Amino acid sequence: MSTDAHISIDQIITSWLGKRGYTLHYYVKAAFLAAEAVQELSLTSLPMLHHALLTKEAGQNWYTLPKGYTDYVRVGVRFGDTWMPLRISERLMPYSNTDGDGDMNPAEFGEDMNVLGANSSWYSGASNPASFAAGSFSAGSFSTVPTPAPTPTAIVDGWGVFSDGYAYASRYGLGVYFDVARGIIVAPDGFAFDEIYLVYTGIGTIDNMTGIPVYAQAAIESYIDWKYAANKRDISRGEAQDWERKFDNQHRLLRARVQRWSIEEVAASFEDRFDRRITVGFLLSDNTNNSTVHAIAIGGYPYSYPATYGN
Amino acid sequence: MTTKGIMIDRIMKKVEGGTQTTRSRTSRAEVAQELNSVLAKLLKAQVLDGFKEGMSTADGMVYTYENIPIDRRDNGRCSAKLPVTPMNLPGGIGVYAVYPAGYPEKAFIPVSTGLLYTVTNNKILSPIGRKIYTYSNGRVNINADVIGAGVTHLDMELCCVDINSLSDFDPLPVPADIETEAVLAVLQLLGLESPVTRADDKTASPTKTDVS
Repeated sequence: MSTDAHISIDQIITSWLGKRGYTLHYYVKAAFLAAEAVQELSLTSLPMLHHALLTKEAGQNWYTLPKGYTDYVRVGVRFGDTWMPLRISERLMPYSNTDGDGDMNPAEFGEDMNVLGANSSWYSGASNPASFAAGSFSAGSFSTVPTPAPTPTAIVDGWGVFSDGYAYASRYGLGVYFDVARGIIVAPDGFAFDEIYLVYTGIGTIDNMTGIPVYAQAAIESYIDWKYAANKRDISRGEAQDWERKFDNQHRLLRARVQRWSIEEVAASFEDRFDRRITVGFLLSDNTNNSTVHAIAIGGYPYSYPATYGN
Repeated sequence: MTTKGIMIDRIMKKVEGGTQTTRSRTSRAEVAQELNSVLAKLLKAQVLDGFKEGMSTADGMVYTYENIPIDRRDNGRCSAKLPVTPMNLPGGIGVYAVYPAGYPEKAFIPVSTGLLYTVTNNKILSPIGRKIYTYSNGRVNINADVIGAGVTHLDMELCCVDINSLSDFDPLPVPADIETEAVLAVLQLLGLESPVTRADDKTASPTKTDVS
């Protein structure tokens, strides 16, 4: 990837070699450790978003989860020129809508999952393959036309993600079940889509190590330092622990950079800075955009923070 | 900076006790051979000192050999013969760099022969797009068909002391601080060790006069 915000694992390795005065003879060892670092960090502190278009075979009612999958972010089906998010269930024992009346019945399925149509089971019955060319993704493909009809502007919010899409998906009764233990996504009977679009977090596999967020570089290099030193035969335990501590510090910094601040954290930061207690309510602006913290209102701080609260 | 000729002259004067004559029993070629060995040992020690400080460079003793032809092997790989035998240095840095002729920025990645299977099966380098090579039996073996990619010759940078390839007037790539040490070491190899030096050396075995 060529944006300034991302860096490749090759660039991290050569940077590490250059800073330490090592020649290319140490490249492979550093590559192993860098790959390990990305995988380790991606599990907890370095969310690496991936996209995949999953296709099911004719006659199947499941999609195979991609390798390295750890958690879902969004899953959707194509709807005209946009993607409609689907409802997701990951209950261990999904139970179908046995009466087939199309109404939500928590006793039948639990929580808010609803599947319309005469579904007898998640696992039985042949799927009905859909075709992009045949217009399977127009509004006419559905039994109920929503009012108002969903349009890209109606279901994409200011963050570039679907906002109302869940409501429409719920109206259509579209949903899938994530069976992570089996490594599949199961579609309900009669699910008329051959392809679903999955946005997910995954471990940093070797195949996608060209788009590493640049703010993770210091932590990854520090991880290489630690493991490289720890694998030396003549290293003392104290020295190895020193390297580990240095990595821990970089790891903490990485987590701080990745995490979006909550309202409470913003408030705590200002308390530290101005040595006075402030309330969360005071931080919120009044009537224009109540999801944005206008820090300038309390301390002349020149930035405004997008807050997670309300989004 | 000294030259090969100046260094040999310095040694020959000590050997002959003055200006070299045609009746000298020690030839310049013989001195050059011993000087080669001594410099290799001294420069290697310098490189190893650098390793203790965490560096892995050997810039003072790198010779570049250009336009070495590549042979295609049966298994879709390529290899090239090393022009000289490199020094045995930690981390395999004796073969300092191998790259397509004229393109040092496209250097291949060195891999120990024993690690080749591990690296190729882990496909760790495949998305990075770097080609790897191993060094064995006096050849560099590249794990890709680089001839098919249009690379027919290699440049190699090797860590060695190869003063036979230098003329008497070529600069000798030796730091000034080890010139004297090299001269004394060659004299010792030629059996012309200075008595003063020997008397000062507490580790030397006793001479007949010491014993009596």
